[in-house]
Amino acid sequence: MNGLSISLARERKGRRALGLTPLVDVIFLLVVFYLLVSQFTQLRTLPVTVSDGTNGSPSREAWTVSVTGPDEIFFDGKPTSLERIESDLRLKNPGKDTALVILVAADVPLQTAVGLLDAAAHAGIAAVSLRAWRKGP
Amino acid sequence: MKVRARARREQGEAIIPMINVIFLLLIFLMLAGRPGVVDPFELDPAEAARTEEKRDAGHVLFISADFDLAYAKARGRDAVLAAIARAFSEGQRRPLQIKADAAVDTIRLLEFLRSLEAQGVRKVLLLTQVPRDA
Repeated sequence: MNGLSISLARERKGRRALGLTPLVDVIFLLVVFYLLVSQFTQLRTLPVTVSDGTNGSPSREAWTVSVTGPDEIFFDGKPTSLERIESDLRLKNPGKDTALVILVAADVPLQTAVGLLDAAAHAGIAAVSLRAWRKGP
Repeated sequence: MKVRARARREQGEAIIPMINVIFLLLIFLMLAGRPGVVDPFELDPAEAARTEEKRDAGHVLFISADFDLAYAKARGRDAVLAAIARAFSEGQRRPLQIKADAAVDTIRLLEFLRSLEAQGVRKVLLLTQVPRDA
């Protein structure tokens, strides 16, 4: 009777020890792995066609947006902003053949150029080119 | 006997909810996160609200705010251009993906794109992120 109770207690003890601790270890390792490997920022893509557009002036049919500084944006010779440029472009009724040239001066951050490309795409202008604006001699 | 039974119950009550929480955390991380390559340097890509295409698999050209360049294992302008030229001469068909910092000088990037054009790159995909306040 005494021997039977000892063997039952041992068996129960052995089963319990086998169950939880390795499971928790493995789950913790998996959590750490996913924390280190995962990226949570949603990245999107903006297609850009690479072409030599730095020389010469834009064609006559093309609309021009000039960027002389991070917040100095001009469309049709009038100052505008990243927030207003899309409505300004829409007001001129862009057609299928409308092309937009974005002339960028020195020290303009990529964020401004991307904002303009994004606004032009949303205004329905498919042909957008980004060019460096060199001030004349 | 009563003391031992209570102690066992208390131990059980402490561990099982913790395991449940860790399981939920694990499921959240598996669903919300996407396994990706760790950037070679700290980057804050430009924000664009209306881009919809999702990114493609494959190597990414990283450009830091100070115009440090990294592509696969190559570092520095010349090594990166050589690595990209090699990749495109070996038949890479997909457009080159560029993950550039939002503060990169646009003219400097345009000049670099001209160098890429000489290596056979015709189209690039600029990686952007969804605005934080969107």
